[in-house]
Amino acid sequence: MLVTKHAAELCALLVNDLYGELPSRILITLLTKGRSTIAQLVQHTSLTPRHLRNGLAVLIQQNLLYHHTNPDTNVISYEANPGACYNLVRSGKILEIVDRQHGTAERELVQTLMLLGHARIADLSQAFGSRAPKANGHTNGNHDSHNGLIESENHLNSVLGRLLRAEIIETVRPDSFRNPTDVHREIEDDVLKTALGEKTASKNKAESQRQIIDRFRTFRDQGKMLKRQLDATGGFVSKRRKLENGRAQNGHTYDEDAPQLNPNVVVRLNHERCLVELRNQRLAGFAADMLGEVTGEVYRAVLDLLTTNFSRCRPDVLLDEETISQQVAVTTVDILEHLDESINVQSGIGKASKDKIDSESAERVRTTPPDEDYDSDDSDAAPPGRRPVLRTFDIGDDDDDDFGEDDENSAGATNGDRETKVKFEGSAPPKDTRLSQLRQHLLLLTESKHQFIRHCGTFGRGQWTVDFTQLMERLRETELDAMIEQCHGRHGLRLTRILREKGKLDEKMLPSAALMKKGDVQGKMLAMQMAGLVDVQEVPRDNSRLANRTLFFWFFDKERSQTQALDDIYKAMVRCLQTLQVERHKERNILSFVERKDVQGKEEEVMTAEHYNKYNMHLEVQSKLLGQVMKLDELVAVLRDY
Amino acid sequence: MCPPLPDTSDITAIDYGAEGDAATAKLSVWKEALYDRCRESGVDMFSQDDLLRLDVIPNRDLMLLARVVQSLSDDKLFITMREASGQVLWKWRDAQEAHKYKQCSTDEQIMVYSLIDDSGGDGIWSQTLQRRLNMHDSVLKNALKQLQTKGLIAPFKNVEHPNKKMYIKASIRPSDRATGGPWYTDQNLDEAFIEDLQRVVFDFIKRQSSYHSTHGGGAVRSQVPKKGIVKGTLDKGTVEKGTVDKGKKRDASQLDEPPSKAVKTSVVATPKKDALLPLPAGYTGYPTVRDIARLLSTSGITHNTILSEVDVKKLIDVLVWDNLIEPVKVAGKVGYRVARIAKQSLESWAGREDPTGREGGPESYMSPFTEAPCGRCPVFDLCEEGGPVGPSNCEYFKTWLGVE
Ligand code: SF4
Repeated sequence: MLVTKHAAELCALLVNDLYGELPSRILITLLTKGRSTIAQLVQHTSLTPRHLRNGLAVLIQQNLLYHHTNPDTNVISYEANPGACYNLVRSGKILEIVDRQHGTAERELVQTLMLLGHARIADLSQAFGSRAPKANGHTNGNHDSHNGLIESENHLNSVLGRLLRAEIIETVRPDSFRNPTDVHREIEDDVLKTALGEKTASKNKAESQRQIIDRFRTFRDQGKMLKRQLDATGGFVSKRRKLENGRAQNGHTYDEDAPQLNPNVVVRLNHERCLVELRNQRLAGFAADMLGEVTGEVYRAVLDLLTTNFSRCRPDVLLDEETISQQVAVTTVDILEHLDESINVQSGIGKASKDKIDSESAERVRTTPPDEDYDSDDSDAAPPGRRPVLRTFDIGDDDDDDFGEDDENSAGATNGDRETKVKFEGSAPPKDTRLSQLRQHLLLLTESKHQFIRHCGTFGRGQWTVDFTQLMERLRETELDAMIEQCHGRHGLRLTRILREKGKLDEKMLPSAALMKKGDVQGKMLAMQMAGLVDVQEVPRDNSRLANRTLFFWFFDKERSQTQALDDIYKAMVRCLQTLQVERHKERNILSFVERKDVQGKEEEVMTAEHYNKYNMHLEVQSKLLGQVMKLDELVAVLRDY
Repeated sequence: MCPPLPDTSDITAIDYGAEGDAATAKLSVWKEALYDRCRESGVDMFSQDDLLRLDVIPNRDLMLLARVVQSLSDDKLFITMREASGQVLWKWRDAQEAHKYKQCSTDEQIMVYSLIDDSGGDGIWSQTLQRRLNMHDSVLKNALKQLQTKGLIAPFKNVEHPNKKMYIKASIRPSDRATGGPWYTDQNLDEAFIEDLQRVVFDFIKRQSSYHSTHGGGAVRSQVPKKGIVKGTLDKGTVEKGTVDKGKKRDASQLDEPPSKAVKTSVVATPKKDALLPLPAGYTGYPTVRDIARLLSTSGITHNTILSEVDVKKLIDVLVWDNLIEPVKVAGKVGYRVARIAKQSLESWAGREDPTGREGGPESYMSPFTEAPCGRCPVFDLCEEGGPVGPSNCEYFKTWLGVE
């Protein structure tokens, strides 16, 4: 990851916020100076070696550094891991998603792991094991399952097992602290060195390339060894939150007889898998924003199912993987099974009479990802014989446009929190109706301009898949469009979109295409050129070099716009965090007061009204600023990670 | 060029040589016949063979043809053109137009007029005239002046070259390219007109591409819609277009009416839970360019401007580029629907008198970047901790956070 000035600043600020000034200072040195040994660090930071070691220890504990001992010289070199530093900002979001997708106990474990950086399973057992009896003692033992927290070593064991299988956590080995790029290079050198003696025929080259990839994949997948073993033995059946909730009422949600995990294994959080789940959430939100909440929920279910086995969002560049190999599909029936019962799929889509619907267009099956051009392949409709029998549009039969608020959902389905609902067979609305209604949402997602899903087969009442690469490209574009629109207005957006559609365009063509005045177009284009969104290419018509004998071609530089946007976002995040520091400094007296042990928890009683108000105001400011940072992070994720 | 003409051993040629007057009379008969045939043929370009094939010239006599054509050209009834390949073609000219050449009294005037005539609706720049004709400035000026007084040519402004002195034939209207088409009023881009039309089109597409639910889409919408005034567009009936079902729906009859009357109707939406929902996949009723063109022409909001479908397509393209609407192809037909339907308001955008132009308008996605002060900051590039502007003295943040 190439680190810009603002990205580095951001990393340093985050580390400073969480772990104090010392690690932050070391980090910024490592970021600016690159890989260093202790001796070099002493020189650059003018810290004493003792301080340095303390700071480095913190950073290593939190996985924020790569370090490597040179086997020949025994010298350790340290290198910042900016990606990991940046991830600190995502902690809150990860906890939320783990809670939602896996459960409260899982969230608790992940939170603990975040505090510890990485930890031995034995240490975790100790931490949780010692706490459990206390909790039981206090609550007479029948209350503990309500909060869903980890209550015993056994429980911890099963939570750990499940998270390992879900790849939310991974095992750590000494190699895990090495920079993957280094490891890749080393493997490459090694393979090429042995191959050097032989003739370097092209066949050989391909062979060594394969070897390199194989060996690197082995290295990368080390963290998942334990998962593999668990998968093979079939322990810790991963339960989805939804199914689990029914049982949570009965207390223990874990397998009592799960195999014990090796206490000496060291584990840490696997951000790459967390990203997959965060991305699902973002995409579901995107769909909800475009098409409506219910459709968003349906989409979420589709994504959850599709990505169960995804280890990462993007293919690893070091592995030369072109696409993510897992092109999986889910069927409508599967989705229905997985979908939360309380979601009323009957709502969220308007009605239209049958003769206004062309089901052939709606139901078209596309077996391959579409080309960039949206409507290019419309002519080759699927043969009508492939069209599944439809009984889908009978929902509009009743006369008023009442959308079935009185639907047949069981009473249990509507009372209270959807998360705690118990599923009763037979009380649900007729399966087939629900299925048809669900299909409507799926078709809607398919038809959207954003092509959220692709209808790729007809088994199981329709098979569906998601072309993530293309979809993310569109989401990125949407985000960028919003930024352009709000910085340069509707007209700015219009001009860039024209350029994107037509490629390079003569300046003279722009005003008439955009229905704008020539002068306005020029002004906008200049402003956007300054902002680095567009650029101009001059093509002289003869060698007189006169302005009126020159053609000006404008073009939109997508790559650069995205990089630029990303850096601007980093900067905005930095400014938010700095403003927070400024505010904290301003209120430092009050803040140090509330930090006192005897004040915590009873702020209102001990503080004067004026101070208490100020304190509350500060909390508000803080949450507003941090909230903003989170939102900006969402943008970073879309542009950079998903 | 023409193939070599045959020797004059032909009877007609002899006749001609023998009796001059009779020949001239015959010539004019042939001229007339050829000219009429050309006009009737419905073609506008003729090669030598084409002319012979018209069966006017007896015996395919090339010599005679040459004379007839020459004479027609002299009368300005034929225009000679040369293709890049070297082939010569002729075009006929309206007798009335040809007559205008007769009004030119000098050769200069004829040359100037013919260039202006050739330039058609786009007109021609006076400098170009000069360069092509290589005339003395004063001669050209004089010729132009004369032609103008005779009412044959007129100066005009071309929107593509607003600063050039252009001339056009007085008898024709400037081309759309020269006037800028319907979007220009007095050579100025009529932005207010365009904006108004866009709003009407947006409102129309929004209504036609969504389903108005009174129960909401499962989303909680607490926003209370305000009264909106629809100007010259549709009446309430069409709001529920999505529910069209002939013979069944209570307002089906209304729906089929073209939205013609420029009535002022207020749409009062019931607060809460009212929302626009997407229509099912495969919906075929999304308005097409033609539907929208029809709406605009019947609604009367275009005043006297005539919008062709090509013009309307331009307007729609711009809305698509603005991310306000999106094309959707169903059953081989491209219709348009509103973008980001789940978040659009029920109100109409057109006919509002608020200066911001946002009210009732499209709800576009807000980027988190521009929500906070830095994303909209005019000094973003200069901002530096410890610099003249920076987080420690930032006024924008103070306002945003509501401190001090
Ligand atoms: S901190 Fe203030 S001055 Fe600096 S970029 Fe942000 S809003 Fe602008």
